[in-house]
Amino acid sequence: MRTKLWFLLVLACVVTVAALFALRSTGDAQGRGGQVDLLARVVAAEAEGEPYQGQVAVAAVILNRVESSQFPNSLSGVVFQPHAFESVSNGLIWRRSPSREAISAARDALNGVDPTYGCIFFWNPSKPVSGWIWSRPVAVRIGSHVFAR
Amino acid sequence: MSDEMGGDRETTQTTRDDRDRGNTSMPNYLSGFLALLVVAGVAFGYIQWKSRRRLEIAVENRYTQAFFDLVSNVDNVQVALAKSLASGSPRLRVGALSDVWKQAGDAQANLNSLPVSQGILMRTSAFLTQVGDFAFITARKVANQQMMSDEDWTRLAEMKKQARELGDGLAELQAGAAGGNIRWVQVAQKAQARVSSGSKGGSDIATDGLTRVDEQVQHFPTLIYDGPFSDHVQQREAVGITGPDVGPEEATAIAKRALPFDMSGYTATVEEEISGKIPTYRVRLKAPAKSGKPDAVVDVCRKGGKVAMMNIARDIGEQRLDLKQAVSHAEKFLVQSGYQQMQPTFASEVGGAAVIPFVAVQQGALIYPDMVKVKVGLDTGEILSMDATGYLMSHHTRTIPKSKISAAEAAELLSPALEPAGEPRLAVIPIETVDTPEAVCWEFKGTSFGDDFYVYINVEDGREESILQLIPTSEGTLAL
Repeated sequence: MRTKLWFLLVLACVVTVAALFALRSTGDAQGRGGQVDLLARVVAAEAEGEPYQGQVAVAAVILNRVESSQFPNSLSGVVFQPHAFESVSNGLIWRRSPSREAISAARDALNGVDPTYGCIFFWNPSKPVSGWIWSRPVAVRIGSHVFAR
Repeated sequence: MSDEMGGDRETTQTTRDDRDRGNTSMPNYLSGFLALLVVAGVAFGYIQWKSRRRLEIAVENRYTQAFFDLVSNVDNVQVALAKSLASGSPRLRVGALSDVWKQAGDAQANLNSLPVSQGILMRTSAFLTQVGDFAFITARKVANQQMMSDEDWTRLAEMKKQARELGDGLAELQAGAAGGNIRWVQVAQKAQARVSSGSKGGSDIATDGLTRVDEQVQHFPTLIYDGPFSDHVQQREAVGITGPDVGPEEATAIAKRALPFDMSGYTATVEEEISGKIPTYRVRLKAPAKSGKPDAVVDVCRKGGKVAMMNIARDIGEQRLDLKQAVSHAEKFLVQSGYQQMQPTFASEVGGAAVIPFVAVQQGALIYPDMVKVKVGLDTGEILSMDATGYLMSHHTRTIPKSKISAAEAAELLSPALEPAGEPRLAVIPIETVDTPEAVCWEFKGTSFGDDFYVYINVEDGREESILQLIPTSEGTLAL
């Protein structure tokens, strides 16, 4: 019966630790900075594991949206538009610092490089997306993403 | 009866036995501890639930505010448009038009912060952007003491009508919101569910209402006016692509020739036919295994066969060249790729590489829209990437008129607070008007209160068309 007591104590500890973690993970949105940093964070989160060109393409889509009348007219407006980017909705963009590759991709896109030739949408066809998005004309496929105008 | 009684007795006995044993194994403090744990769990849950509720209400309030702000912004747009039509003096008209610009901009921002599914409000967003943009351009015109054209008047009147229609649609929805029918947090959750399940999901009042509003806007005619968000600018076609069609084999050969190193052993495949504004073949060049050579991607125009874009994936080594040497490497490369009569405008250093924008030159004038950007590694001077989309979108032979305003006359028109430096040059710059998308200007470089500027004076009428500020970056730059 001693073991039962120990078991309960250990369980209590585990519950407490888990609760502490649950509490901690809520207030974690630090790390601001300039436009490059914000753009690179979205690139790092949305295009992780994609070829370099695919990362530049994701950054270019975001910048094309800023230039488009159909989307908010600022970078932060586009990035934080509700339901625009899954990694922004679930907080993934704040979870770690962007890689050097992502920063370089963001810089290239800010310098005007656009491997998508003016696209304003991208999605991963192997993941669930809202059905209407397929009605957009697909322009190009890079890595596992498709890009559309 | 008696049987049951007996049974009862037995049970009581066993319970007592259990308790007796329990006294040794399950002490009082443990059951106390367990009770405490339960109480703590309930309390913890309650606190969590309460703070979640608080956050939910805070978010709900933010969304509701955005929606209410949107409704009043659109109302204000309509009122300010009406005022701009009714006011007789430029002073009041400029004020009213500036108000349209501000309110339409705010409306657009508020609209785009509503938590509905992606794509539902794109047309409304475009309409608000264009109303603000048009009002800004017109206000500038009035302030310039230019006459508003008949077209401008009808367009303003039309916009006023459309803004009212939009306002009515939103007000209807707002009446529902005031009755507590719209829960924005639920709207957001449904929209999220639609994204993650990939289905259309359930409907809600807000999404349905806003979808109707957006469909209404679809019936508004396209807007063509002198502004950057005009439909004619957004739908501009590429004019710099000329020549015969090119097949995939030829494109592969062109791609191989474009790269600045020995291509033996490389495998080249057309990976994709891109149907963007500039239709291209995307050719991927894979280096032979273990050669240590870099892979590359080259986009070749399907018409004319020019290289639109290329990227060579390699690490940049230790810096051995300066920006000047990088420029001459880039120049050589451009001539080889068939981009002739190009002039570098400046060079800047970014992470061990030089980024050099070149522009076309015609009759001594710099044609800024026809731009090719070249990135050169400062280690070996080899090209890292190239981007000619600007050039391909706009390149054609211009008619450059004889200047009616001389450089000296143009210099008189500069701000007294600008100290010109160097000789003025002729330049063609984009101005986004409907009739003439470009203007021929005198380009002055100068400083004002410690900042560097480029100022552009139209050679035809002396109008100051544009002013650009040079913002120094932390890394090196070289003006050419």
